[in-house]
Amino acid sequence: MTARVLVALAAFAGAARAAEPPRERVEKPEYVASLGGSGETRPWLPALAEVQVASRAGFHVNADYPTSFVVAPGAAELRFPRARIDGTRVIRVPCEAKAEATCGLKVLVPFFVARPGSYAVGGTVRFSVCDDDRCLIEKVDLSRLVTAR
Amino acid sequence: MRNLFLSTMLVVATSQAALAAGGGAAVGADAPAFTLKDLGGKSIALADYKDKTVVLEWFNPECPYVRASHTKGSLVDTAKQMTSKGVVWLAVNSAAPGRQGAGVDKNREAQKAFGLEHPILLDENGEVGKAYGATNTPHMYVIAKGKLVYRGAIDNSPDGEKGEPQGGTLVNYVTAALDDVAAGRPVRTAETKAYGCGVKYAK
Repeated sequence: MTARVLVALAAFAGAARAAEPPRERVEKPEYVASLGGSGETRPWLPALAEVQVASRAGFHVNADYPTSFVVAPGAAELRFPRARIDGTRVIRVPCEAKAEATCGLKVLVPFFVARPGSYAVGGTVRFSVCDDDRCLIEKVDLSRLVTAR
Repeated sequence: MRNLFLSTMLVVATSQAALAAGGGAAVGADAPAFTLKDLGGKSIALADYKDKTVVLEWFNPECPYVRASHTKGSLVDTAKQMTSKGVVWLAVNSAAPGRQGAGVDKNREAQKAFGLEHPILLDENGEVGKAYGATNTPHMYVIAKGKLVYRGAIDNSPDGEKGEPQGGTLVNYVTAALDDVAAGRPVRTAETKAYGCGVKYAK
């Protein structure tokens, strides 16, 4: 009986992990990734979401990695002029302590909505952070709710 | 005496210029000689292959760029294909003991996981890596008849997965260099900037 409960709990935990929704902010020991910007807009007005990645604890952003943000398809009324933002559109934030390295990334994501309502704006940011001992290649799903009135 | 002093100064200045320009062996120069042990303890010397075309691949089994390159990217089966054409392919791991990817066991596991049939040589004191100026894993070198003819990245897709080729078209610089060598023409792209993890030399 106990074993059955444990198996059921493990299955539930696995399902919960698989169904974990994208979040506005993901914090790891090596970095923080977040999606910000105004939470409110008006139909047909240009709006911006702002993706930010900040390295932490001795890590820096690997400037050679092809960082990108790919928007997640959303409601039909939610429109993105660019489905993918990369290259020179990714803003690199220099480190305060180490002039030679990049410690953060910023990506501005333009969008607008065609009707009033609440919309999940999001996508996947891909980047790499390294310290002296290791590098990580990360793909982080981010999303936030934006209301158009 | 004065001439000896000037000659010495010139050698020092030239060495420093080479280091400033990226460090290590320059394209067109003699490839630095080395003897290293593979995972089974067998000594392998570059001099054993003086008439062959040799590829050196700086390797670290725990670097995500190396893993991506060997599981999804431009290093999948490339060594097997090239060795079947007579090329000698040697992986070199310059990680110092205790650092990421160091040690026989981790490299043996990776050799199995990636299906590698070529030797992985351990350069734990980093002397060979520094002689070549290896800064990244993977960092690739092609040697033809003892001369360095290519150094740099495996390809132009710095995500390691062939998914982000610069300019839109994937170029495997190493196989391109090997094609040039096989055709007896100069290597068209002889130097590129390597990408990936830093080599984990001793601190």
